Amino acid sequence: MVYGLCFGLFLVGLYGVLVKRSLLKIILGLAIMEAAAILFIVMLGYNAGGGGDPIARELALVAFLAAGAVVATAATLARRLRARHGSYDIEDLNRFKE
Amino acid sequence: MQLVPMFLVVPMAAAILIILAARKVPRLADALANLATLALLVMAVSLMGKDGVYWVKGLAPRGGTPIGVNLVLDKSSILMLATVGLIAFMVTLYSIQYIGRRASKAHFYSLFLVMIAGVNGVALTGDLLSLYVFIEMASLASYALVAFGDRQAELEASFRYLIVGSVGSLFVLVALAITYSLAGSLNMAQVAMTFGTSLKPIHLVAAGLFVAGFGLKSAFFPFHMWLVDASRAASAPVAAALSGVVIEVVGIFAMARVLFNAIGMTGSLHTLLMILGTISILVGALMALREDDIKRALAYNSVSEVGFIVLALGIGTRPAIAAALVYIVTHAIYKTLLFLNAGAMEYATGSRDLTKLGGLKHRMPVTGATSVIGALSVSAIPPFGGFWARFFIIVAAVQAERYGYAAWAVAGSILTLASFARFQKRVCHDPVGETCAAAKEVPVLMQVSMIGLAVLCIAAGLLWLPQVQDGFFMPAAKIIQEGITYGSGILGM
Repeated sequence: MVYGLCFGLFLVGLYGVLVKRSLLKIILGLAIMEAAAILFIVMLGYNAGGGGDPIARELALVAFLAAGAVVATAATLARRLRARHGSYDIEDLNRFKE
Repeated sequence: MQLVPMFLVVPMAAAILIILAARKVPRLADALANLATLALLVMAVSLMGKDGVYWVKGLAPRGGTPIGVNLVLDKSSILMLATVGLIAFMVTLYSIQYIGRRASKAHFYSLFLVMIAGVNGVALTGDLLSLYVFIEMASLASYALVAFGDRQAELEASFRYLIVGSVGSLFVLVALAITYSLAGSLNMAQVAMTFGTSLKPIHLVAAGLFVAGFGLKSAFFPFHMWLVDASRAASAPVAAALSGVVIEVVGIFAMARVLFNAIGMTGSLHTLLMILGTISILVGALMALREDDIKRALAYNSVSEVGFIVLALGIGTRPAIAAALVYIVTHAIYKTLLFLNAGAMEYATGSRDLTKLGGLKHRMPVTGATSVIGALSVSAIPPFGGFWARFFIIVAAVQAERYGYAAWAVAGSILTLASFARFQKRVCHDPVGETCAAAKEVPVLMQVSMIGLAVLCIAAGLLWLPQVQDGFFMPAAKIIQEGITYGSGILGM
């Protein structure tokens, strides 16, 4: 049940990444996917019993740090793109290619 | 074995040193970066043929159970380290004069070395958690490198690459979480011991997620578009490193390691890889055929080349895996050369459009001549290295009685030949084009780097020698092909 919810959350994020036009919404979609993956790891560790599994905890922490770095990089790129271009809309970017 | 962590320490230390000390002094940054990459190459060559497992902080396994993180130096990872060292050195050598007129060199070198450290880590690690960390390290540095020029096309390509790459990393992350929950350990050797040879459907789910994740990283069909965008927008050294090193080690070698050595291969995975590889060969070759932008054409060609390697891994016999390793090494050399050639053409003429270039052999003899060698190598003309690599794959396919796949691989080779014949005719042999009229040969260090790679392309023709095959590639293939027995070796060592 809980794993199903994680999977649903992952799909919500994937939908955002694939369908949305705004760079910021794409980044949010990615962040939701990352949250779903981390939640999945946390649930695995929790269900392992004994007050949580140390390696799962480590894995979740590492994933959390990597997710932060990725989202920060993505946000920087999006800001730079808007500074160059004046819009967060990915379709606009395509139209003015070259 | 104390030298093994140096493959991570040297580039990281150089990256930090460059950003702290050499920010204002480009010459010092040049020197440090080239020394670091040269050191990587020398270390890799000096360790050729040695084996060993390095347990971080000396935490060796107790009673067959790993308690620490390990780096595994074996015959297959040393091949990757040597290739990475070689390509990294050639690229930094080329960058001394190429990057000079663009943005800050210190930042470029520093990011580049972090990426190389990540790639080396992926080649060496024996632990799935650190594999994930190294993948993210190499990927984040390469996103930033693609965006390096800070123009719109570069930022946009970098953004796309970042999204695709991060989704790939997430697949890997979920796959390794599932693997962990099944095996109770993230050490590849331990996973291999626990899984054994009988795989249940849930193991295959994890394997499928690994294929998807590494597929996104290594740009085989249907995950290839980011590579084309990124290669077009990124500067030539970065595009060369992406195609030559990153997609091969972070994508394919890591995939081979995880699938063969940790999870274990089964019939359906072999078929999946063969099918994806074959489609990739044909799609890449066909798209390269109708592309006028040199860098995009080269990137499509990389998609096709990756297809060959994945096909060979899918066939999965020992000669096929040895052929895949030969292919990784030779592809790294000639594709780097061709991307550096494209960079030189752009440097001298400001254009990468096949329809506008022409007559380069008169205006830029070194670039022209080396690009001919690169193109002959990539089109698999004997006796260049590219020929043997592809020949071995096709022979291995026939030996394994996969005649259909062998036929498709031959068709893909012919299409590649056609696209590079067109490239050579347009760029070198046509009358001097309008954009090339005033072109001059590029600065000397760029030439040295291209000549070095061209010589290696010719030398790679020697890779078929039985001594080389038996000495390096077959033992490496044996490690990958023997699959999960890898585990007992590591834990017992």
